[in-house]
Amino acid sequence: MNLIKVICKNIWELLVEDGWIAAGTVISLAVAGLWVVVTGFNETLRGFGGWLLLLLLMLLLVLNLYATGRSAARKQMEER
Amino acid sequence: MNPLLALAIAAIPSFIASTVEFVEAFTIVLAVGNTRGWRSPIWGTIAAIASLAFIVIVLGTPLIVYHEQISQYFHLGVGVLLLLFGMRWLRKSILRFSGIIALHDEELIYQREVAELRAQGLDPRRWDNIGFWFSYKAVLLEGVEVAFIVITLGAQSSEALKAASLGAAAAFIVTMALGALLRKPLTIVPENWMKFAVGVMLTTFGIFWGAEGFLITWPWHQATLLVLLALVVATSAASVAMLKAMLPQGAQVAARRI
Repeated sequence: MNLIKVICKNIWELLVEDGWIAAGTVISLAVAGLWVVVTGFNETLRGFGGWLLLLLLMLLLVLNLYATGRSAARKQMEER
Repeated sequence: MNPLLALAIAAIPSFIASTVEFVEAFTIVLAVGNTRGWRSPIWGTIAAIASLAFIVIVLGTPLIVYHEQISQYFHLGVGVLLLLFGMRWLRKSILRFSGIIALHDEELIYQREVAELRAQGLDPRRWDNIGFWFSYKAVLLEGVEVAFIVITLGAQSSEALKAASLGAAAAFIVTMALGALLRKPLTIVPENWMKFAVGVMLTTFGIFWGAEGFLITWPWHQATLLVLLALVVATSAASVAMLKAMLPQGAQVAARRI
């Protein structure tokens, strides 16, 4: 039972290490999905959905890293 | 699926990611063998491989059998998993290369495991439960990750699944051969770069298939993967530069949460 718990925890950590990134990824996908619904049958507009997903994810990554960098810098200052 | 494409989008990422996982498992089994003797870690490894085969058969077979019926949702599901998995690896690699967290060091991990195993004590006349469970857990946990990678990368088609499985099998053979030859932690494997490459590839494929799951058509079809890959690499490089500018000497906060 304990081993199954460890395996489940491991798989969870494999996917979710940083809550921001995990939640942001799911939200970005939801936004891309919503874009497809809103643009309906317009092929050209729908095609932008993929690029929108890329933009949202890269923005999420950079913002998350910026916040992490600031947090690390703050901790470093406190230790000095 | 074109065999070259299957090689590029399934076999190569599967080989790189699986090598990283096998190297990590090998370090722990080696630490157990060198400190407590080889009988229990060998049995632990065999038992873990048998458990793993059972898990893969139980979970993998329905995915292959019902793949066609749930194709669109499957693309979306695979995209979500690849993105969660890939973004995590990519973020951690960027933090490593910018010096915010320590680089992954197999030698250091080996020394830590050896110290922990020595502290447990050993009675050479008795069956070594500690050695068995240490190896069993390490091989099973890393193996589950390999199985997850193979199933996710191979989920697009039976050719992709074959290619991903072959990639993982090749990684196992290469890691074991190197390990048997060197008999020390495999520090020669550039794990940090490999983890970065896997993060970039999984994120790229996740974006591609995630969008296809919503029935979005990419302008240059599968060739778009190259454009996405270049943009993900460029963003990663810019992120490393940004963090290096913020913390020129790095933070080296190791395992602490930041």
